[in-house]
Amino acid sequence: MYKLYFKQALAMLKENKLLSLISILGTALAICMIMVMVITYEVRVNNYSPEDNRDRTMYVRWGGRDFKGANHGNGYLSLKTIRECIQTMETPEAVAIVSPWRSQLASIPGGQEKKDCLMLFTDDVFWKIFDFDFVAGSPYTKEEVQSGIKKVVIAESLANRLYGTSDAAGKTIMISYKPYTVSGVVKDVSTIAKASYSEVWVSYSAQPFPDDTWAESITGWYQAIILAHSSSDFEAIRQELDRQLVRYNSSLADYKLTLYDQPDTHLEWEIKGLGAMGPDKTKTILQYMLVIVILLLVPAINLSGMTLSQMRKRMSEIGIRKAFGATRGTLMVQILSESMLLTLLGGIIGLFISYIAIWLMRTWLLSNSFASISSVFGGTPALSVTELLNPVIFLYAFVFCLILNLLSAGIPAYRMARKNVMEALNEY
Amino acid sequence: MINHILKQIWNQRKSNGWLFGELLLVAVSLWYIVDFLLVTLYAFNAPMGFDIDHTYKLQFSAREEGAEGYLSPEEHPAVVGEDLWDAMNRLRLHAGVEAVTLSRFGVPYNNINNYMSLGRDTVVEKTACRIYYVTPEYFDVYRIPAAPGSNRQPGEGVTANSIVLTKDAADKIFEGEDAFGKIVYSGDNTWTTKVGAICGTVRGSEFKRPRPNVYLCMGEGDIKTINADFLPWAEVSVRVKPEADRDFADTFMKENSNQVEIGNLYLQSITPLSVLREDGIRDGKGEMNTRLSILLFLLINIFLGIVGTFWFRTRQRQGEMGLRMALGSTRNQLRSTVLGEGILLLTLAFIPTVVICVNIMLADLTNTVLMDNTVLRFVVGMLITYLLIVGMIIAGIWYPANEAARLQPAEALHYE
Repeated sequence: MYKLYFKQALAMLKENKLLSLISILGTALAICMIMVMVITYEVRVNNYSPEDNRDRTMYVRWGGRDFKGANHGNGYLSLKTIRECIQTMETPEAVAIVSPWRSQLASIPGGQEKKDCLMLFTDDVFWKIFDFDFVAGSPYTKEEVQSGIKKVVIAESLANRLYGTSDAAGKTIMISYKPYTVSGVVKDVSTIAKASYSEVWVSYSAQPFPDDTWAESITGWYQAIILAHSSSDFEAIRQELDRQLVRYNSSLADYKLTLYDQPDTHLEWEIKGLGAMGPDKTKTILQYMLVIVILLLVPAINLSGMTLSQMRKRMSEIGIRKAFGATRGTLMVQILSESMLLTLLGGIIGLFISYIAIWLMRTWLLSNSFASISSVFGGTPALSVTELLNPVIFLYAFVFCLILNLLSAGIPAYRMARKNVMEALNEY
Repeated sequence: MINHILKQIWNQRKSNGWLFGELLLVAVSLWYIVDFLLVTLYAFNAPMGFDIDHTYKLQFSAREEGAEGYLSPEEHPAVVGEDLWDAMNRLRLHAGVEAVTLSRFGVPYNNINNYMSLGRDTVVEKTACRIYYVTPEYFDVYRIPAAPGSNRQPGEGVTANSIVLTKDAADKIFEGEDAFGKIVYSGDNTWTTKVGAICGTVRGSEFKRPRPNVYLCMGEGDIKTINADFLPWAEVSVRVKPEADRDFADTFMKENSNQVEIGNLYLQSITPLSVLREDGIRDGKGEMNTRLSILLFLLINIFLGIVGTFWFRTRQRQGEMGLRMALGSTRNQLRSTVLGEGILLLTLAFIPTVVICVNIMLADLTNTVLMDNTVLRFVVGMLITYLLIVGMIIAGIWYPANEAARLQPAEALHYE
């Protein structure tokens, strides 16, 4: 039966080439725009190498200081705060310490090649939370971080540039003309991985940044990344951190530390942007959904006009089918599945165009507040094919096609199928 | 003919009412986006007031204790600023370098805004001007010309005792009088200086309007006292001769960076201004791209809607077409009747559209950050909107109108 519908739909398509083309293109455009939004969301929020645990990672990026309830200021966290408040929690699987990017000059002893590089300062746990692809060597260990030994991990392209080979483990690298040992070399990271991207990762104890001792050392230069056992622990972690914070604040004399609504999930960070507080989460998500609804509804209304006029032509056919006993349901299914063919064709084209569009406009679509710094240093939001050809994306595309088809052909189909037999035959 | 079409539109007012409403809605929303894009594109292509081709920003840094080649104050008594001054002199002598300047908050597209209020006497309201600390060569590096009508080069005007104002700042402070050589007072009247020269207006980025700027001098003494902590804010810019600009940043960094290594001072990076520009306009461009996609989306959907509606209508009116043919209408006449009907309907819908849009503009809901609301802006925006929809209608009606016109009269009449 469906084979017959398929044949019939194809015949209709051939008969009305121009109009079919227009409606396919209309569908393609709608699907393309929706998929650009969906893929951008997927790439930014869902797991993305090396941030393979985004779904169970939380971030504490900012701390607010209150001085006797009067003066208020913001800063990153201090090592003391992270150690006493966050690392002592029991619910998380791991807590990593990072100090955000600074740029310093990287070179090799006596070498001509020099590059101003972005550097991220991390501890050893960082390498457990993120799943980097090591080309050579290994990350610096807990003991190495504790002893303050000068070790770094570098990106493959930098290794190639400085040493002419990616096998640079154990070699010496000069950072601001101070000697460090290359502990490992990792594959280059896309700037889409905004928590872990860098060109050089430095053991944070090799270049310690002082806590704000004038503010009872509650703020400083560090941020914490929390890995939960699973996303269902998020609520427990929030509650435990709240309790820790109360205890921590009671140990302070004049200052109070606030963490706003942190820890943030990756989605919350994406919505907040660079600052400590950002737009309301629910409102942002609702706006996002509203845009998708409009993107579906507007073309659907416009397409339904065309579907209706195209179906008018087939009134007589429907009349005959009815006279021979086809029920309303059968007719509706027939009309809907025939138009689904057109929608699917449009959907495939639309998805294809959306990939091209994302690739062409990646610096705009996928840039985050952080990418703008990294672009000056030559980082790119490289896209991996495996992430783009994710089955979930195809599923989304199919579901949106289905909805679009129901919206654009549903009403005309209902009206046609409801027509009186006599009336329908009369058109013949 | 028009009377006839008008009469027909009136006769079919029930179904035309829908279309009228649709066209009205479409026209208003389309105008809003066209207006935004028009203004943005105009601003994007308007002159910037400076020239960043072949210019580079150099970032210096200083070796700290423990670094390879570090010189203690005993070994090298000169402070970092003196080394920087020497390094700039060496850069000037480098083959292919045209001009070198040092600035603070001064490189185009930087986002650090500092303002100072200036007035022509102690009484009048002061004008906020954005501060640029520069050396005289700044105007050569970024090719900022003297204001039209002024023959004193801005490079001569920025000294320890005088400042340079942009044309708009001078006009605002002195209300059109010639500002050259006059005294200006700072916001709290505690400080005065002379206007040494007036330069052309300058914009902060492609998505900003020109704003009053004041250029204050960074003299030899200021530079020579710079210490290592201040280096991140000491921006050295160079202009390279076009014929010598072959991958200047990488080549210089690789082959010549040791020439400017003096004492503990070393070159950390060279960034082409074009990269800083890309970075500075990223957000504005993103906004423009979003609006462009909305425009494209709207246009295609309007097209779909119009094709659908008119196709449906002409099909319903095949009988009428047959009758017209039987009474002697030519195919061309039929086509122009249908087209004329669409366009006339749009024109009718445009009357309330203009009223609504004028009100939107008067209510200041349009983007006035880049351009004031003017009659010209409105007329151009409306005209483009009208032409765009006319284009859509012609494209949308063409096919069904043709189909109807191609019909044999007998066949068409058969539908009656």
